[in-house]
Amino acid sequence: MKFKYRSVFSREPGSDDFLIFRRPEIMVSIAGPLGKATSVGLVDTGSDFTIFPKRIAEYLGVPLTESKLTSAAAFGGQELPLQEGEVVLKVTDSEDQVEWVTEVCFFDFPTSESEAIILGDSSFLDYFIATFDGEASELELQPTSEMLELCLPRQESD
Amino acid sequence: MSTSEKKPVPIPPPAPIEYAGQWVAWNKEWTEIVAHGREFADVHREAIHKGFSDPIMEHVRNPKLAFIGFL
Repeated sequence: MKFKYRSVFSREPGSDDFLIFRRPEIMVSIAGPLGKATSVGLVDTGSDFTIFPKRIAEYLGVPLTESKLTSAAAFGGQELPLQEGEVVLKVTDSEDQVEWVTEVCFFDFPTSESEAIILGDSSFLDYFIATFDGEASELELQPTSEMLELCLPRQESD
Repeated sequence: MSTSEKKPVPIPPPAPIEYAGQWVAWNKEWTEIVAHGREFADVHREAIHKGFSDPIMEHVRNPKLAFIGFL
């Protein structure tokens, strides 16, 4: 499965000009008891966990439990209290898709302005062989054999 | 180009700077932002209400701040 990087504006260092950067951000669908939503998430090899905003869990009706870890250390040492919930994740490219049930983490971001979706090792990257092609701005995700066993059967409506 | 060769997938444009800090809902073709606002749920509901059954949600970061990871 291949995904083009997402284009984003970012300020050029030392300048008032903006540049277009490309980041390995891909579309991911998340489903809970009350519904589903598709959103852009950052594929982040530096994150041990897959993290969604807690407000999305509330919107989709995902029951939350306190994370066994209770907190995670982010870049800079900041501690983040995490909760966990079971969801269905799905990634789709132009030809293929994989869908699986997994536990992800939820974080109560202090403001909606700071919210982010991070697709890290646990629940996401652990199930793929990921190739980041910076020159082509393209991410390739090849499902592992474990993922192929976990993968839900494809629905006719998909 | 042979007729069986795939057409290149167009790269969607970046979200406009004016939406920094907000959630935006794109249509499936990535050609139009159909709803935007501070709350994920409100934006998603509004897009569905407008007839976009599975909008693509994106959180637009503040482009004035360099992104160096999840803090």
